[in-house]
Amino acid sequence: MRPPGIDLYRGFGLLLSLAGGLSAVYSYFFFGLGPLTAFMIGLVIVGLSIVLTPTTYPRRSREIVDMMNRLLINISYLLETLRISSHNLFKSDGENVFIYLSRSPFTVEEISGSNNFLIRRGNEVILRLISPITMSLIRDFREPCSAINYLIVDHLDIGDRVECVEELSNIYIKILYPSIPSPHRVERVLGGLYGVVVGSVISLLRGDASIEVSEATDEYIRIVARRIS
Amino acid sequence: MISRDYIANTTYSFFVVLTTAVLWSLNEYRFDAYISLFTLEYLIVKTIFRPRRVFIDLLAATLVVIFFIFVSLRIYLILFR
Repeated sequence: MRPPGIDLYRGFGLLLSLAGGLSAVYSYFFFGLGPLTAFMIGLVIVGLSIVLTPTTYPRRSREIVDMMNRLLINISYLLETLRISSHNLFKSDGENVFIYLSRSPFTVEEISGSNNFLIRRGNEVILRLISPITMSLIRDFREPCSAINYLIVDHLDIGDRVECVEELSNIYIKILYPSIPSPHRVERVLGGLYGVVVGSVISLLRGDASIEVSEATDEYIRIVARRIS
Repeated sequence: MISRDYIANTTYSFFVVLTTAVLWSLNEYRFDAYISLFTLEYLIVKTIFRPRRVFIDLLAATLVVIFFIFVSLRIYLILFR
């Protein structure tokens, strides 16, 4: 029976560090403190490094992921009810970011000056949400790619790593091993939670932005964002 | 695709083998030289790949402490012997 919390990978690390430690003791008695002993100590370090590597997300993180997923389902229902499907705009006032969502294209002039949750435009509505990403989170950053990488990988720990390229007015982002799935509607309208992070960061650091493309697989999420101003 | 945690561990094990082979071929027999380089490599891999850890990275802290002990010993030997 395996000890609790030890899987195959970490078990291998434990075995490597124990074998390395035992071999280090033997080589010390036979050859003294030399290259062979040092190599065995090196194996102990590698083994311990493997043992210290978590193979699943921490329990609390998984619970937060579950909560976020349920919250996003509610937003998905709201978008479904309002028939909002594809047009988004991220607009920053310097500190906060507002996300405007609509069924058909709209201009920045149509939404400026309105602080309502729902903005009426003929028979349609534009939904105005407040992004959870604020300037205080990325104050030390000047480049969107490094800020997105910091937020997703280090600060929120909701993805393994980020590949990001900024080219003219477009920013191409690939998030590897995302941990938070988004409902289809939220995914399509604004790229899910990751799209919110990406769009908010770009609007804070580069000006108004929109999420143009978002496609998700089990291994990655690919997002293309565009600067509008 | 492989997670960055696994890439970090694999890269580090490669570094350990490479360091031992290179130093040994250069007839380096000082134990502390090996361990100091292992420590340096661990910190470089940690900085580049930022692997996740179960708790805080106690291994990095331990290696840094050992590194400083070795450096202090070397300074002591140079100055007082």
